[in-house]
Amino acid sequence: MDYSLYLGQLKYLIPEAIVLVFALAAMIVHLFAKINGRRAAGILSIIGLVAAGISLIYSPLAAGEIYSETLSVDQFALYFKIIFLISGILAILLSFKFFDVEKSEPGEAYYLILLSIVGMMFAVSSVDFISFYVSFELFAILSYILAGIFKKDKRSAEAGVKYFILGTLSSALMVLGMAILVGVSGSTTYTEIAAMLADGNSKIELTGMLLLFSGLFFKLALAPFHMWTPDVYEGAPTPLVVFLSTAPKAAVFAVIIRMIYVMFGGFEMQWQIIFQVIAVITMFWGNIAALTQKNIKRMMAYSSIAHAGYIMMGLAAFGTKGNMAMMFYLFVYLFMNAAAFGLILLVQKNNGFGEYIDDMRGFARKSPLMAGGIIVLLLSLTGIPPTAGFMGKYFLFTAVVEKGMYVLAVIGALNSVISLFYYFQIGRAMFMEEAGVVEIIKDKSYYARSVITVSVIVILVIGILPGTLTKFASLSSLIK
Amino acid sequence: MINYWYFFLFFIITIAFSIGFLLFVALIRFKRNVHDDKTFPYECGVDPVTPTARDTYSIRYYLLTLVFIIFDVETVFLFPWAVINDQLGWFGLIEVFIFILILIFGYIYAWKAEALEFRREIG
Repeated sequence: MDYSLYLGQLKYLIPEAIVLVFALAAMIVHLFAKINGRRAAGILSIIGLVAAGISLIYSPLAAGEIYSETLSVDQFALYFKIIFLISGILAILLSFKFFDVEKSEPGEAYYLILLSIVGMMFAVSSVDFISFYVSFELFAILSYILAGIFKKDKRSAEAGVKYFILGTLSSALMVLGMAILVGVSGSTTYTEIAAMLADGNSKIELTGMLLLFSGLFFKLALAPFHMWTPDVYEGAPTPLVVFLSTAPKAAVFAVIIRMIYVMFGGFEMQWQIIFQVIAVITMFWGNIAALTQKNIKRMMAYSSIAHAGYIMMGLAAFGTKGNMAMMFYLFVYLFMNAAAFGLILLVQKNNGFGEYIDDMRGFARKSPLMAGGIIVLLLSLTGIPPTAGFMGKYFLFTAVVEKGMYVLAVIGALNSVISLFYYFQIGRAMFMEEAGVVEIIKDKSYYARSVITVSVIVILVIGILPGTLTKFASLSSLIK
Repeated sequence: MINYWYFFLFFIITIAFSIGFLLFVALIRFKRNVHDDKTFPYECGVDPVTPTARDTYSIRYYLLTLVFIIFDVETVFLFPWAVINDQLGWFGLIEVFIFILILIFGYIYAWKAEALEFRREIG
């Protein structure tokens, strides 16, 4: 084997290297800074993410698979890497505000976000079980730590432990599935496994695939595997939930798309039915459970389950259109989630944050502009024009209809109607109810406000002019 | 079998060294000093035999062990590189140095987070 090529192939990994170097630099800054100088680590992290984004635009794409067919640096991976970087920037900006109000700053959060982004960037490029699993565990283990980063806070610690125990259990299932597939095919590379799987519909291969997908579905919080979501999202620090509910999900969806495309093409009959059933259960479960929630974080957790169900419809309608719809929706969902969780950071209650719907009463009178932005956000989450959420659902439904799955499309539309009820409980509390004791946190820094404003502008712009993102997503959705 | 002669050489040197070292120590040691702690089997600082299972031990011992395992596993990853170092060339050397560098950052973290302090003042 010729290893001399390897040195030259390092140039494809420059964005990952930049994120890693800045993460280590932020760690040193955090360790040696005084207690009130930890903000520097966060600023350094944001600079690192922006630098990685710039290098991502200019770095070359590899024509084939690099490093002994373990990584594939293509346009598809690039699209998801951009999602991770944006998610990290938004989460760190919201963290600044959160840590200011909580008056304690666990600076580890900044560089743990960066390190888990490195894991995700490798995971979406992986075309080999070993490189996939190592990078998957890198971001999975870091997400458990991020959920429990306030270790003195009971709720945060509980969220971390719950997430850790259930997460490792699902990882074990996933490894079992991978072991079966590797045992059947005798290789860890996707393409070589595909060559062995293509000819048969044997039960053992199907079992391996199902176990593998179960582990991945856990990370996506799809219906039979979603039980951890409300508890973790409620207990974990709000800005980190923005990160945990967007970036890992996008990464796992990307991994599943690549696996189906390369490995499980022969099992289309089987996974299509599984994905359809899971999409339906997930949408209903998420939306109906969200109806009765009083806590906005819990409600958004169930809403994120429902959104994973919508995106799952795109996976059931796998193809150029379905992939494009999923990728479009994941990009939009990132901004919707950042704004929705940012809303919680605006309202004060008992020296903490107002997490309940009732805490939002009279919000519109105190801050009419922000309330208007939130209404746009709620429209987008429900899927009403002229917002990006509508465009995302439009692409998903057309992809599903084109594959002839009319029932699935009808159920998706029905669920959008159900979601209107609970999203607009927030709107009703803000506009229609008696002015309560809502107190908007005054700060000079405007971190949460600017994140919400930017997100709402992005949602509106994509909703009115979806052309650029559509073109970029459909260009990226082709895996060569 | 002839190809394995150096293995037996290794075997002989090992035995010779062990016996030779013990003899050497026997020659130069001063006074025979028998003590309870000296005859006790060594088990990383934890008593291997206790009258009951309900014994107290320091929880910080496990923190140190975790740090130890991380750097122990590092060695495991160095072996595959060492075996085919001649084929990998410069690439392998650079990669291994990056790998060790990242672990050194982990070491700095453990140090600053006081994971290596066995007696920490609680206050």
